[in-house]
Amino acid sequence: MLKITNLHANIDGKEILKGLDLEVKPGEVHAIMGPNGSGKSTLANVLAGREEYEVTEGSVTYLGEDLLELAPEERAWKGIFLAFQYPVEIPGVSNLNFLRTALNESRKANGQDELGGKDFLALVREKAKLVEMDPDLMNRNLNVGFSGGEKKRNEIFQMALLEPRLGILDETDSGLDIDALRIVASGVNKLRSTDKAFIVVTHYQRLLDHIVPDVVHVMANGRIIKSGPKELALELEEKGYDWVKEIA
Amino acid sequence: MTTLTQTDPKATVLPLLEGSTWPGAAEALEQVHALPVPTSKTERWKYTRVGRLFNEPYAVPTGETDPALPARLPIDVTRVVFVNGHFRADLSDDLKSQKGLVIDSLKHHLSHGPVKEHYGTLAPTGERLFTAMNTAAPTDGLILLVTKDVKVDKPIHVLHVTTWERQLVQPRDLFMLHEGAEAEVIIEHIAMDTPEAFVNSVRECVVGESARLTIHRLQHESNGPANISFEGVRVASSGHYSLSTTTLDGALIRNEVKVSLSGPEAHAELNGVYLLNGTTHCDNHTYIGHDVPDCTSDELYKGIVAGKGTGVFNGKVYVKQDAQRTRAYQSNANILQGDDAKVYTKPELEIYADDVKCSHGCTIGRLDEQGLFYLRSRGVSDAEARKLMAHAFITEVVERVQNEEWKAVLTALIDAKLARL
Repeated sequence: MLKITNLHANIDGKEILKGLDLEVKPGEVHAIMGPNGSGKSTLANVLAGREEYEVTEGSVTYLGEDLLELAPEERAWKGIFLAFQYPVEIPGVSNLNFLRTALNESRKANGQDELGGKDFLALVREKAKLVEMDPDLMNRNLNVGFSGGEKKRNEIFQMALLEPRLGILDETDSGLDIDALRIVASGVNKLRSTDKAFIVVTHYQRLLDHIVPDVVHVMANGRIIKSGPKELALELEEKGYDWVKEIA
Repeated sequence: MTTLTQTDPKATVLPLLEGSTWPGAAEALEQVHALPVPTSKTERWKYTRVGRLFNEPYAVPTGETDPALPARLPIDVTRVVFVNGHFRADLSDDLKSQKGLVIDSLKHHLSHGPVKEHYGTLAPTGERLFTAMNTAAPTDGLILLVTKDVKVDKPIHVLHVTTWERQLVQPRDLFMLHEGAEAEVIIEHIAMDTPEAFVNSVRECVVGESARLTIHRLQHESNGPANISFEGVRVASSGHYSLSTTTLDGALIRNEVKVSLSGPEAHAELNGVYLLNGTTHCDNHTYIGHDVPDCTSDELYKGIVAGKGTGVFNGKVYVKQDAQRTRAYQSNANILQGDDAKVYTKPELEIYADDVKCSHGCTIGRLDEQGLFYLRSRGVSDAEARKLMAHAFITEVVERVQNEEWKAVLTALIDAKLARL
């Protein structure tokens, strides 16, 4: 589904990714762990198409296509979804209005009919249950006045609604208490299927108790330096990241 | 020795200003002769060039034409129509349906007591050429007189239609709200493809004790005339004056408003939205004078300037020495799109009292890139994301409109314009 080869990326002239390789197959959940500044969030943002990051070398193939040639919205239409570490507050744009625009543009791009108001609302109700989201939040302005936990839930709710093929979670666990973490994780688990894949970027192991990965990768200094089964996460938790830095 | 005589650039308008019998017309005409046409050296006109308005002669406007009027607003209003500045009773609604209220042609009321008392008091001609020109020969205008405690039962929609090129239209309004009175007025200018026409308006508003006057101005004259206006306002104690100006189209637009808060606990709110492209030039000039203690003012102007558009904002808040416990807020925020758009903004606070709470600020920037990326990463196209972000930027101002029906009309007009920016 996704094949990243020798990826190098800069921001403001500073190289963050320094030759990263990763392959993700349908149905898999990959966890990417690593110390702060190792390039985890950069990888997530590069995959979603953030323009501030400049790819200088390497390739990313997604469903047989050159992903780096696509605009952020085109990536979304082809099934890529990035759950933000810091979801953006946008006053004056209602959550629902925005989601309906996003969903219908995506449907249009995929040759499907646009959803009418009634069908859309039914879908919203169904997906909101998945993350136990307060329906009042739906009509509010996008993320404005949402608590940290509500913002993260809103990310997973949007992911459920847009049904991506490849979901990328960028530190979705940061700032969540244990209840919110459980709700968010169970939302993600319900979306898992044989044709979907997830990349879960996290600093801590605790999210992986709830979203159990197939593969754990350790990132340091802009590259993946070690990959292994889910037990690797426990090992990291135990030993900390210092030994990783030594290898890097 | 030879003397070089220079012709007065105002020669193109002077013949139109002679012979008016309106109050103060003769003195104003003398002022017109004496005052120079503003240039870039005139501080108040630094960024707005008006010299070209005087390049060719104008015609005297006539109201004797029957333009195709636009569809009525989708809200319940009393519509008053002016064609080329002339009042048209036949095109207006029944204006006598409510007691304690005068809505009429100002020309018919010049000899009445309240008009004599207030006319000309809030629009000094000494320094302002365009105000002097208007006072020298007003075309006609609206009198709105609301007597004590009368609340006008629905908004008054004043529709100004300009139909001919190269005419000088000079609307002159006088609004007077007595103690406890309330009125809401929507003032809309439309033009029937009239480039090079020149609309020069003056409005005076006397807001009595505990009275509330709400004015919404809508400017959307595509390929329209130059539109220059001065609005002089005085608000008595506990009175409330609110002006929102929405500029969507036009050629050269200058909106000047001067508010005097003259009684304790008077309040003024000035809001503005300007969405400019093409070569539209829009200049908002505001002045709020806190003359006495315990008054409040709040000012928020936001604009998006694209194409070869130019946005100018100059807002001054003046707090007199006695005006303790003043609260005054002012903000101007701009989004620039493209390399040829221009914005000049100058907020000014002049404070002589020591116990005040005042703030001002201005910004010029681009649409929030983080927000754009967030929307696009969810599958909203770049164009649609820009529209949503622009809408989000402007909405703070529109949200201040209290009249929900009018807010809906305005939102639709703004969104339609945003789609064209």
